[in-house]
Amino acid sequence: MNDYKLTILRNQKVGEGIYEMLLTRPDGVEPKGAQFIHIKLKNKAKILRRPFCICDCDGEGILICYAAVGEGTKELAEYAAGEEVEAVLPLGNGWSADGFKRPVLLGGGMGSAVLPLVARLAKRAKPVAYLGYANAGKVVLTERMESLCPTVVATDDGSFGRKGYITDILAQDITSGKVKPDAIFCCGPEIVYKLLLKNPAFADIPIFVSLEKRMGCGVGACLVCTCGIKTKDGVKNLRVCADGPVFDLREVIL
Amino acid sequence: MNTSVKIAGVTFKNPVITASGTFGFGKEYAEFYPLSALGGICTKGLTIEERQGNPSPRVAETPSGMLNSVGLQNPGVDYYLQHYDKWLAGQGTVVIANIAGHKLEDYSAMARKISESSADMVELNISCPNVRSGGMAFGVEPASVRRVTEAVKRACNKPVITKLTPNVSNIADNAKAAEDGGADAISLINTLTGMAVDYRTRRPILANNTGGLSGPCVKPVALKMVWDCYNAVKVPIIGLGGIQSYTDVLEFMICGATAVQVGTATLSDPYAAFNIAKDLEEYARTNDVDLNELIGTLQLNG
Repeated sequence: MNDYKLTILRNQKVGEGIYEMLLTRPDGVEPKGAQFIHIKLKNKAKILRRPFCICDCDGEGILICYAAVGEGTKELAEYAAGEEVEAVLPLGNGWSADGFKRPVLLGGGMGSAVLPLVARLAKRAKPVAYLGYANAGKVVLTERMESLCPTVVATDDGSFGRKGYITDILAQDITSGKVKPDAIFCCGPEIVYKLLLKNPAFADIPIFVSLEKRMGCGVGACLVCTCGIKTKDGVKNLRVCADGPVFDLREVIL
Repeated sequence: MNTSVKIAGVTFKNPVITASGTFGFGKEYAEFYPLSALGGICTKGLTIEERQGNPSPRVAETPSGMLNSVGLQNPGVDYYLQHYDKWLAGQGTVVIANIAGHKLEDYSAMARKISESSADMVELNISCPNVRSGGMAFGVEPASVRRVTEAVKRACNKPVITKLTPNVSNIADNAKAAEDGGADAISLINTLTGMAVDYRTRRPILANNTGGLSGPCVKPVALKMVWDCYNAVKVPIIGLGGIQSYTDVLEFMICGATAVQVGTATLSDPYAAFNIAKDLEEYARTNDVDLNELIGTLQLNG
């Protein structure tokens, strides 16, 4: 982990308000799945860095995929290829699919952005991806995922892929025996986590979630990104940046 | 040229200290650079018992600044003594233990605990805006600033720094009260209370509703208050509030600070304090300056 100057190789719109930014990879940096990058904005009035999961990392460079929803991400969307950004990486503990057999990688909306690198680095696990989006306009990264592992895509309104909530679709496939995951790795809005906990189809399956919180330092010092986690010593406010970002869903206080 | 400064008999190789709450106990940043490059480290605020702090979100960015409402989450002083005290003592920099409490007795008990530690100094946090029934409650009235400083001085064998809140009508009165209570130095400013609001939800962004404002936006407030205090007390002043560069440090020293703390800048840039210390040394060398000669040299316009 260190602070690097990275060159933007491309920064383009890939969906409704959604962008992919490809950055040069510093020598020797080998990010794990679900690790993140902390990018400094050029506008000095925005003093906090912005954390993004490392979406993918290959010979091309380091990819992030982000929705331009706040002031910081809207600024990021305006950066052009050839410009430099300052970023600390790789941060967080990451997560590996290896050690599991045919785990499901579940993405809800922009949560899908954490899955490609996890799938790419899965050597033995043979994961299957389930990606759910609100509608066709919000569908991103599906081709990349399909190139890495078998992938099921759904939209809430049926405008792309199968129709329905991705958690319902996965539950159907588990119930019918189509997939038999021994773990689910998930990133999505909180509603996805609540649905996973509620649906009996997932009751016996370990579920790991990659959490997102408003962050400060990104390295574990400032304690602003904490989340309540059940531990053997009771509920503790752990740091999403340094103790996570991946936690066992059943230990997370939502 | 000289960059070293002295506060209450403790020598800092340069005037750059990391501010409490922005640097943990140093371990995270020791991954980036040797902590011996810093004048000193001020620890995360410690309490007798472990504290889990406030619910999140605990941070909200504001123009050229940020609000935080961490609420003194820390592992407790005993954990600190077991896991960090010895390690910090070996880092080749001055260690300041920041202590907080709810009651006067908490501060005395903390002071006794830290007396047994390897820390070089104690910083008294009576200015945290994020904790109910304590913290800042001690920092507002001059009489209680004096009382809590006296209590800690009685219980502690190390130099005591009283950290002042800017959320008062006249900070110089509180600086004087700390000095009268026996403080060996004062540090200021802690964060200014504030609120960030989401117009869509009509709710504050922080789960705690209010928080403490820090970052470059508070620097003018801090400079003015350092100057006010410099004219009110004789004890050394540690200035903080929005410092991002070595020129900011020079401005604080000119307004009367003997040393400074770098806080929020570390969140923007992990190397902030390291670079500021390095640039300051470069400045002192290039201009052949003893930084001590700058302290309090502000000349007001006619």
